[in-house]
Amino acid sequence: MSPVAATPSPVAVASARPARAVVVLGWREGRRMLTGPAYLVIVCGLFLTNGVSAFQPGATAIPGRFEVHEMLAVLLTYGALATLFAASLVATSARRTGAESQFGAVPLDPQLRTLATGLGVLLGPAAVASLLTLCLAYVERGIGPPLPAMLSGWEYMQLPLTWLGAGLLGVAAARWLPWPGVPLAVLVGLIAWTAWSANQISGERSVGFLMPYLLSSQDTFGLGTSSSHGHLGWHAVYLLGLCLLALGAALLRYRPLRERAVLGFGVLAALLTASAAWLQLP
Amino acid sequence: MSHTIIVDAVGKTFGRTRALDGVNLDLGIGVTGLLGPNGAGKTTLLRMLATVLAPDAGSLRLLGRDPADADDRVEIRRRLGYFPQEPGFFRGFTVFEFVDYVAILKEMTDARRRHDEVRRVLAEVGLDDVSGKKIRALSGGMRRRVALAQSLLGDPELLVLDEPTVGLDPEQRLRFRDVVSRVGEGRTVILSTHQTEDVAALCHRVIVIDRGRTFFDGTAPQLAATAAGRVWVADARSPGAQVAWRNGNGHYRNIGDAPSGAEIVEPTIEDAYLLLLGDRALGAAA
Repeated sequence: MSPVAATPSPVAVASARPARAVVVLGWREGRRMLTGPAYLVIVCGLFLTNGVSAFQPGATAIPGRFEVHEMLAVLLTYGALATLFAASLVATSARRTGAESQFGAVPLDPQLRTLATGLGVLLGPAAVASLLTLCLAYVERGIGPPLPAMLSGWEYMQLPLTWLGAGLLGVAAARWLPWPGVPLAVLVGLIAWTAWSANQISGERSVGFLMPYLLSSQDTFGLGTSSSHGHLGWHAVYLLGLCLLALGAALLRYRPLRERAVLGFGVLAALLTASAAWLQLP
Repeated sequence: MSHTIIVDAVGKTFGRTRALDGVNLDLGIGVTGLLGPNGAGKTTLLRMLATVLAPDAGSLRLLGRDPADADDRVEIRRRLGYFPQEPGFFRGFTVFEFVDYVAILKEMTDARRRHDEVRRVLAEVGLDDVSGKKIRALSGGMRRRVALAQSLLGDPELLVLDEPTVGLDPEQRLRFRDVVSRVGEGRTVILSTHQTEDVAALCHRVIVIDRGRTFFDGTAPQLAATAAGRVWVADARSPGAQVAWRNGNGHYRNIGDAPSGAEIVEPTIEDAYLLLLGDRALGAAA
């Protein structure tokens, strides 16, 4: 242990600017999500399982355009699952580890810390998904002749929104239902809702458009969720609305803190979601 | 003299347990020790002073502000450092990363200045040479020093420490006393402890609390003086002693109503504490 020595006079460094602190914390939380075990395991698993096809007889040693396209498409389609777990792990880490005991007396209250975690989903996994989507678009359209099955602009937009929405849902679940197994239950619920919606769409029932996941015109995502009649752009806005509702739900956990602002935000998000849900219908 | 902490008839109930019952305090600059057995209400009181818990009855004024008001509470927390009774950590973080994380929660947004502050507090508690180590690799005593370091971030005017010396070895305890005594100059420090030696070494004022009520409020010498004439040594345990134990030199130290002719000795704070709380204090001393 280093000897006790005179230390320089402390410098007051607190900025008393919670908004800036939320942003700084958001970056930190986003980084934690991206380097967390759940995210790395699932993402690597997706790469490996999809990359196995590269070792099939006849496959070349270096993945070509098609293989890269497939890996990106699979990663983007299912990466939201990893985001749900990664965000939930980060959102519950203070409670699980007992670190919350040291955070109880800091100026950044739990609601602002929740906002920062939500921002972390945007700045971390959702930003990565956006970059991967750009890569996917480049592979589909920027190299050589266009591939036979390509996404449209509205379908590209949906991809990072599913990562964002799954992450924010993970944060909301962590705040309202802080028990083990909840992220898995949320995931099962999400899959069940999506499967039911796909069934409704294939039966040409409009309620299916309320699905909380990717919707394409030609089942481009391979989920069985397609419709040639709906408006994919409005479905992307609908997904954005669901993201905002999840964030609002997470923040509402700390009523009555900033109650008016959070409820107002929630009402706007609900209006946006409802409008987009209606406008996307064929 | 401006009073940093004013506690007025504060009460708190958990279920059917009355954790605090009409506690009154008036504290200013300096180091105050909070002594009491397990379940006395020390942690409940300290959590209120740290703005983590609200009272059911009475009122608080901390640093001239009302913690019941949301805006005031934030302002208090900007000038407050808190060491909880059972600090938890993100064990995958390094020492530096964790303290830096808490610094962000304390709204230190300028990275360079924040890192300088983190290095300062880590040096203050003697952890500068292990700042890159994972917290899970540290001993319990070193982890408590990490918790102490985060409580010192931002040079708080009010420092609330809940049993900070638990698990510290003698050298670490000496360093802790040095840190607290320096921090206590010009600031308000309140710490709870079972170690009467820490109180004797550090605190200019002592509050003894039990069953949610204050039993003593004064200086350390005044507390010791309450046992004057009631501590004696003998070759055996005296029948009239409230508490007695065999010390290192083979004699028995007795506390209670001394028989005539007993060899009266100078009382310590511990003697007075045991005498004050009787069997309840024995539960903590055992």
